Amino acid sequence: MSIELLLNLQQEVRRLFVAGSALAEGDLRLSKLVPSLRKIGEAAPVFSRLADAAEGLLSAPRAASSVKLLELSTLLSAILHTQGKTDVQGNPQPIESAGLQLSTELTYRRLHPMLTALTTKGQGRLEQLRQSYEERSFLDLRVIPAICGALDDVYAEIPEFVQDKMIPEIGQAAVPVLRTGLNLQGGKGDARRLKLLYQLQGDLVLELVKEAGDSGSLELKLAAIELLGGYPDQEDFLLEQSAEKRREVRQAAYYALARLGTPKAIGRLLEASKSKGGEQVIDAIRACDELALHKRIIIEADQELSRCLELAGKERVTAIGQLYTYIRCLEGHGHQLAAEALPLVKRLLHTEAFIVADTEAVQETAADLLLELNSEEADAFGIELHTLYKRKFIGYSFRAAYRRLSLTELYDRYAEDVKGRSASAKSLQSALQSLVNSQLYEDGERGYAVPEGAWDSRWVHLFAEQGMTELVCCFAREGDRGIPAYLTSKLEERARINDHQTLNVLTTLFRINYKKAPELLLELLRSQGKRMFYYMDIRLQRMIALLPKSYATELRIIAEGMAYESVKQHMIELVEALEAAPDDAASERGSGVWEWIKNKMS
Amino acid sequence: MNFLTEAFIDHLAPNAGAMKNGRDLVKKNSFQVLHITEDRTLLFGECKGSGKEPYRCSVDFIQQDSPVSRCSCPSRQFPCKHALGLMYAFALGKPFEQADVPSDIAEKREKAEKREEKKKEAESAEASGDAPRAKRKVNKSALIKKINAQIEGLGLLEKLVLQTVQNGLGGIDKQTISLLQDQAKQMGNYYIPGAQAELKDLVQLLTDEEDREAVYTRAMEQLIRLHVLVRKGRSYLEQRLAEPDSPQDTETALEELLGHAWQLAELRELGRVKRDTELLQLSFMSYTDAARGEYVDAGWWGDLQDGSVHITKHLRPFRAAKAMKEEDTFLGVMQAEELFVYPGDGNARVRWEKAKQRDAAEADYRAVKSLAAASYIEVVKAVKNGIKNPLSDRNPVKLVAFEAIEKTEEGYVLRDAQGKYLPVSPTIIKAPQRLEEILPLLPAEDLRGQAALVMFRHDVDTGRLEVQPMSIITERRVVRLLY
Repeated sequence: MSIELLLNLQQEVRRLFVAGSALAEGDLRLSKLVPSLRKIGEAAPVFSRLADAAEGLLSAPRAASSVKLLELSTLLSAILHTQGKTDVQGNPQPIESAGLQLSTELTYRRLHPMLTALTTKGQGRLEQLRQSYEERSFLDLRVIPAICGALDDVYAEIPEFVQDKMIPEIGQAAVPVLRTGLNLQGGKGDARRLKLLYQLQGDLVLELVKEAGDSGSLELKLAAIELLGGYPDQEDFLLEQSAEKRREVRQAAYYALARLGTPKAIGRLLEASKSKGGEQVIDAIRACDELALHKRIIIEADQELSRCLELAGKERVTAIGQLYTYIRCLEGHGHQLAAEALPLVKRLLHTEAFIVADTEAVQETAADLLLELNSEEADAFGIELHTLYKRKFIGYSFRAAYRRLSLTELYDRYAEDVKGRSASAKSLQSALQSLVNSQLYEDGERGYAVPEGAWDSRWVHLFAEQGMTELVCCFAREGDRGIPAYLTSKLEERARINDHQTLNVLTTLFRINYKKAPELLLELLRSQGKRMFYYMDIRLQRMIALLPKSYATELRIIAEGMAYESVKQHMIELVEALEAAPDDAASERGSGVWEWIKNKMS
Repeated sequence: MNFLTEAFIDHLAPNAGAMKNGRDLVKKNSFQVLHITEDRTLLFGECKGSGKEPYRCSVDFIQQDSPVSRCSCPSRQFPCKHALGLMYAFALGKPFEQADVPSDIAEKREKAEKREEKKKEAESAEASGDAPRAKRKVNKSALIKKINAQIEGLGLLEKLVLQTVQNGLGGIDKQTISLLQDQAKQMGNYYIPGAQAELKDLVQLLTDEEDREAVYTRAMEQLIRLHVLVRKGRSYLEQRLAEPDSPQDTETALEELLGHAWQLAELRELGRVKRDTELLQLSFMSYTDAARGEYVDAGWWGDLQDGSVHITKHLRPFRAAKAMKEEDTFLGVMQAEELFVYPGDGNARVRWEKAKQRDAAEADYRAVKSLAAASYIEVVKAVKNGIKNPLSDRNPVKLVAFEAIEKTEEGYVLRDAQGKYLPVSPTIIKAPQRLEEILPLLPAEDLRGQAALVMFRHDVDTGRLEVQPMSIITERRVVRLLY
């Protein structure tokens, strides 16, 4: 049978389907095929039938042409469907098998959403991946290529999740897929592949990493340099890269050298810190664990300081800039360097000629470093700074003193300086406030009061006297005389239901068990409850939950009058919780209801 | 209640969302009350919902294979997330308190028992020949009216096909398409939903804006199919019109192609029932059939007795999809009491009403593997014989043995014991996982001397007959390449 002829005929038939059978009458190209069909038809009758059908079409009038074309094509199609070729080109070879023994038993309902998330674009994909990860349903042979493919995803959080969580758990099974997918001239995704391969295989892929470092694209090069930081024999290569034209490459090389920490590497980093773009190396030097480097920087900085003091004009500006770079390099290792760095810091802050406007940034960095040294000697020096230079460093001094002095000493020394609105008072206040803030946030959740016994009890009265309500709220304790009066007076001055200070003051009154606190709260709700729009402050919710049960009825009345539906609903829920609470254990009940509410909201 | 594992509960869940929601209820400790009866046949409890009152839900295992779930929530899904959560809570080892059967459930159990008894009585009465099951009566005049309408509809379809062929596919523009769409809609009045869907398939093809050239060939094939459907359908219907008492055609799938939905009772009457069959699912796939407006959950099953490949199609029309159970991959062996086989050639569509399940064992894998066709010459011959009929399934699925799966420059091939090849194409079935990436990851032993479930496709443009492996069946497992 002549398949060639059949395929030709098929082409003509297809053409007529596209053009329309109306044009088939007397079609030249089709009619040319008829004689050949007839000829083969002598041996194979089915070709005669095709010839008949073709002739029927050629001679059919316009109206009947479609039926004829369909007849011809139906016959042809049936014949062609029996002629499908299954031959194979070339010489088939066995597949190089990666030999993964992973199962394929994940069901459609679990597998499909994960595959879709990995291979398509759109929202909600990361969530799906997290869920699949939690269900441990990513350990299936069929998802591994898709997971590794997702390293190239443009939505950065997906490749990150895949790289950090999924592939490390898949482990060795991911290696063959990562290997085949890796393109040394590729982009970010390939850099991730290289890092993963190294993470999974270690020294086995060292040659590959070196190759990427030598001849890879930028992303690959950066990844390779980072990985090679652990290899002393790569020192020469890294030194070479630290002189590269591209900034990214240099920076990566600095980090790698910092990790290496060999004498040559240290020398190079020091040299880089002196060069024009010295700022770029600061982070790398900070990351270096080899303190010999930092000690040399201290010596350099000391010399630079001398130069600063000698020089003038443009040269002085350059020297100050260099000094600034040196001091920033020391950040992060302060405590370890306490002994070596203290003389430098002392000299910096003791040299009157240096405490001028254009060295402000260096002074502050030096003062920060002083606190970071965290040694007794350093703090003693810090405390001394108290009154120097028009109390310019009073904030630093206070922080050092807080670490070293007793509570009373601290109060006695600094209380007077807090008063007023002078520049030094303000800087002391802000140091105080930031100390307090760090104490409040200790457990990850914002607390309402500083820890008991952390401060002298006189502070609160000082704050009240100065009208620093925020701090009064943090420092107030049950039984502090005059404080409730101060706080209620603040409420009388101004009480708004959605106001930060009002709620703070009320919360504090509840905290110090002020007897009339519930009544004050209720009054506020009565007069302004209607104004509460959109949401209910968490402190307000907490206080309502602390109310005695007997208030429930009135609260309900207030709730009914609320304008905003969702707040109203919320309020009613709170009231219901209050009503449902058991009568006894009045003291514990408050927290019990609160737990319940928190649970419900999560 | 050892059978109540998480996998078993997953299997009961109507969809993936319900699985997650059920588990989340347990995680969030939403169950305030968890009870179990002494005989361990009933779980019941209370679950916090959004309303004031908790939902009261229960799962009754008095019949272990088909647990009955009840819940006071308004969900239309069964089991709802609360009932699923109740079961997950049990599977995850939450403490259940022992309690008596609540009175309302005891009542419901009694009623169900009575219903069951009545049914059994009726069955035994029928078996003993006292009251033979009444043959379903056919309203003859209504039937004739229907057939006439069907013939009229086919006439309309024919006109459309001829017109399209006469004007040519190249001239079809947006206007023609919307006209065709309207006419396809009108076809809905003639009791031939199958033919209507075939027409919609054609419209769908032509709407595809991308790559017109590739579409032409498929459109041409579809026109041929429609043409043959009209011709064969009409002659069959005319014959039935002449003899309304003659039985429906069960030799071919013509009835189904025209749009008849076979009922199990009809199939039973026509004797298309296989008793006590054991089936192992070899592959599974869910897809959207836009022309028919439904989701299809398709399963391919190997018959452990004769090795034939059956297909199950669980159809979920878009409109009802939310309340219907989504099928899922099934890893065990299904033991169907009665297997209903739909008329048609090729891979017969099957269904069952009642079935038991058991875990698949190595013997089952061996059985399927040993029943795979060994000679590609014969398989290819059978496939070609089937697909030359324009009305046949264009993608038959076969179980074939292979000596090895190998690689050429153009792709993969299967080789049989006689050294004959079947070329592999990874694009016959659309799926996000790619065959060419998965095959080389498999262990070498899975790529030699095993069996594969393959789908065939004849590519009209290239004239090649190719296969896509859906699963590899070895003596110890089924490697599912799809789902």
